[in-house]
Amino acid sequence: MAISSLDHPSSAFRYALLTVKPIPFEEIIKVKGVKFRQKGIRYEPEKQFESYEDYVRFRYKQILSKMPLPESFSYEKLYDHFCEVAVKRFKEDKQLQEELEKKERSLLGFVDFIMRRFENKMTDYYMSEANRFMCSNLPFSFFTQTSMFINTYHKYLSLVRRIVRRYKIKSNMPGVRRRLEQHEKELASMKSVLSPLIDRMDSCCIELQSLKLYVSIWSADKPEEIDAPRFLDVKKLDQTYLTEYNLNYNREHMIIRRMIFQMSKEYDPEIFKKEVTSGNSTAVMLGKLLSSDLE
Amino acid sequence: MENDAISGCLYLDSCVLLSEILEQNKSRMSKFKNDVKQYNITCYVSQGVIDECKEKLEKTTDFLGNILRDTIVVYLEGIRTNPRDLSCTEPSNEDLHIIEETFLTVNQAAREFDLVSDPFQAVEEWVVAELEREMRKSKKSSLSDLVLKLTAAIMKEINDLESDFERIVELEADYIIKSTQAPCAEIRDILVQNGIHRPDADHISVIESHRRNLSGKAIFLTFDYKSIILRAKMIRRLTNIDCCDPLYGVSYLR
Repeated sequence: MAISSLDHPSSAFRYALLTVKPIPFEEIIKVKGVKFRQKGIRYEPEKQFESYEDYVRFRYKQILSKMPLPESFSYEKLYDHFCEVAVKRFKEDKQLQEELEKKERSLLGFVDFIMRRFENKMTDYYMSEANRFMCSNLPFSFFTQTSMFINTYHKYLSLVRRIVRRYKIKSNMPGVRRRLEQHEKELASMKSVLSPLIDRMDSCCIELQSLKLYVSIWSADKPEEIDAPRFLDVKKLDQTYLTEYNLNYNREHMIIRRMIFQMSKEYDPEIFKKEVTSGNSTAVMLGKLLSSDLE
Repeated sequence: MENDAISGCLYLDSCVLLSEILEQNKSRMSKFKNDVKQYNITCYVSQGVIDECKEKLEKTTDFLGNILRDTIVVYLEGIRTNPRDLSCTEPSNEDLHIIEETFLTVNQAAREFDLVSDPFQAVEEWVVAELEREMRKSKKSSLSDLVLKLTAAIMKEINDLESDFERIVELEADYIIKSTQAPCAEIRDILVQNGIHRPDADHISVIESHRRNLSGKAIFLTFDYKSIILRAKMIRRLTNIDCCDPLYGVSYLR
């Protein structure tokens, strides 16, 4: 998983779900040449949302300000580099921007898009982690810890989807559909549920990003290599910092997983369903290894 | 009905916990779980058992990583033959011979003594099966892509396993409860003096702490015949603690 690839969904949810307000609309549509008057609700930004650039700058400042850097690396240059890359990636992501426009009509549609996109890329994310492991001398368990975030993020998206879906159902109930006040009430209730969840996920993303960046920055021989160091070298890392970054990530990761678990009881207990399938050859091999003596 | 009255609880060993997660020992686990459900029996795991499972999982993960990255890839890249670039090499029959040689070399000791529980064998069988599967495809991946795919598949499987472990143990989302009882030093020492491994002695002695602090019957369930069940009579004589296969768990509570 590219280091910054999670900027989008995290900030996009904050923008798309937490800072919108319902606006009634009326329009004339044509169906088979016959004109109909359609009434409904669309969503507009509640306030002037800070630009994506501001968000990215804030995020990297948070991460880099605490990070020790090799002498030959300049904080300002690194900071500018990461922000530029993230903003460029966002601007080039036309699909995401189109979906952000569409979310005016359907919040659930937007969440579905983010989820579909994540699910389509899950194998790539695991492959990317596998590649980082192969080009390193760090233990495999280090990478299975970071790749566990993929599992967590999938559960998080499923939960967000359930929460938004419940809001959609409630706001489409007879008597609510056209009443702005009811819509506002339901939307406020959805936001109050989502807000702490998104905040927690942000904290976890920051810790994961910090851990990965620390390993990449210190493994790179020169600043130009940071995005894709040729080799992630444990010998170049300070064990105290590595342990601290690891602990911070594990702590936040555990908190968000517990939060998702608790909330999923109300919204969808299936989010934490059994995942290991016994017939699969990799699971069988793992089972044999776990039953053997690896002394 | 009197004969069917059940009282007490069960403590699970790490092998029982892992069997639950990995769906091993299916028929025995299924009978055991039916008993638990039917008689509403409380099943505990001690902190020591939880830590042992986590340690096993981490050890297994790193063992697999070492075989993949530091052995298989090194041999495939041609440490014994001509060096080659795996990103432009398709898997072939020759690679099966390289794998054969890899495992013969790294596992010489185990092969000499004909060890049945040799952990390398499980990985060897899996790698050969996956390599042959890839060779049968009309559009083959390069060897480096195949290695990445296999590594990614293991990563995902380990994550699924960790997630299930967390759900069942840490989040207590199924029928298992975390015990707060610590090992009983007195019983543990007796067991260790009589040849029981220290970690097993710790797990078994938690039963004594449970009995002292919470009273009531408690039984230790394990699939470990070699170290525990075959010595169950001795353990009972020394400590008055019953250890058995999950298949018989309910019979000790009747």
